[in-house]
Amino acid sequence: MNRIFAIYKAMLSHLAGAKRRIVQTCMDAPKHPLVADNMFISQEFNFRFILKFCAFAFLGGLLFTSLILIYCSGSLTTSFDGARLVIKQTSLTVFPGVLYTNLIMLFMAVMISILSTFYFSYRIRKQLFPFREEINAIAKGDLTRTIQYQPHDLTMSLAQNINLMTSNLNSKICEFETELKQTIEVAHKNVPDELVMELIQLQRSIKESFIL
Amino acid sequence: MSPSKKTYKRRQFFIKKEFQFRFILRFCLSILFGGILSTCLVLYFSQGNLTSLFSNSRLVVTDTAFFILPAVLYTNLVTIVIISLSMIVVTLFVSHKIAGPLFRLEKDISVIAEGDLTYTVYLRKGDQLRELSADINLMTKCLNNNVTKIKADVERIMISASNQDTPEWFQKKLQQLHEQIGQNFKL
Repeated sequence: MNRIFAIYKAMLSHLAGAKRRIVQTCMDAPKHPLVADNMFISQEFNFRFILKFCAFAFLGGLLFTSLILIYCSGSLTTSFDGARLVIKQTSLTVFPGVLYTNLIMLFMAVMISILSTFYFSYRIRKQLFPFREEINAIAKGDLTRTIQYQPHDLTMSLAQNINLMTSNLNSKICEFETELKQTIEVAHKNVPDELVMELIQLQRSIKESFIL
Repeated sequence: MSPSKKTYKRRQFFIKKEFQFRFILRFCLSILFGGILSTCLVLYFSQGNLTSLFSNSRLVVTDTAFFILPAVLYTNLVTIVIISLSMIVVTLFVSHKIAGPLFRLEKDISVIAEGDLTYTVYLRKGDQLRELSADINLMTKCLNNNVTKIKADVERIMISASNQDTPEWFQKKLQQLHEQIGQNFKL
């Protein structure tokens, strides 16, 4: 199991290297969702899902084969092998056909599961990439940021909540800054200059820490 | 964050209904498609043979593909139903590993929006979107540091104001500013 995962990871890193070379030429590579393979949805998570899907496809194939063979027992099938008439049990005759079918289906299951997990994690990354940038900007104090989203996006409510959070925090800080400004204006009259200077310094540091 | 929240377990697995439903539906449809394709392939591979069997005492000779058609249909139906049911359970759990943390983050952001800058996002074992939760935690920490600094500055000015001979209204105003931070933010 671990060895298969190691092979899978090596294959992915090889693919990622090739992709990086292509994307680097035209885009800001480390920030591009196509390149950052392991972000948000881990490779192990994808790998496990692919394994599960393929295991189910394999079990389905096994079930299908055994049921068909059971049903076909008790009848004989005649076929021509060149000019020779061959009479065999039906289950034996149809067995190669069923086996080929199963192999084709298993191959398709592997392809479908790999492609769909890649596509799905790419879509999640594409939707969530701007979030990291916005959240990092908010962390630096920029409370004017809004996240753009498409209706029916999986991340729509998260984007709405983050936008609401930014505007809430912004109004809280703004409210405090307005009060502070008013205090400074009135304090000029009969408060020692030293304290007024400290209040002005505080106002400056708020402006430095936050973009409102 | 209280320890009770850390040990909280999700009982609801169908959270983001639209997303999870589409996720499950896609994989079930691919199983259905696989079933139909495998029927066609088996019938194709068994072409050109004749099957003979005794139905009561009568010898019946039919085309093998035609003979096994009902069997292939029944077995496929049984297989599709069994595999689809199992896939529904698996995809529900898998999609929950993404929908769950997303839902959690939405709720956590609402708490932070109320001014609780001590809040830490915790995800469960196997949950995805870890980078995003780490970013949110870092953001809360940074905002907390900045607001704590403002609060400490106000406190410092309050102390120097009370040590010096300042008007009472000024001291009250400073007190109000200090309380305003306390009311608006949990630090």
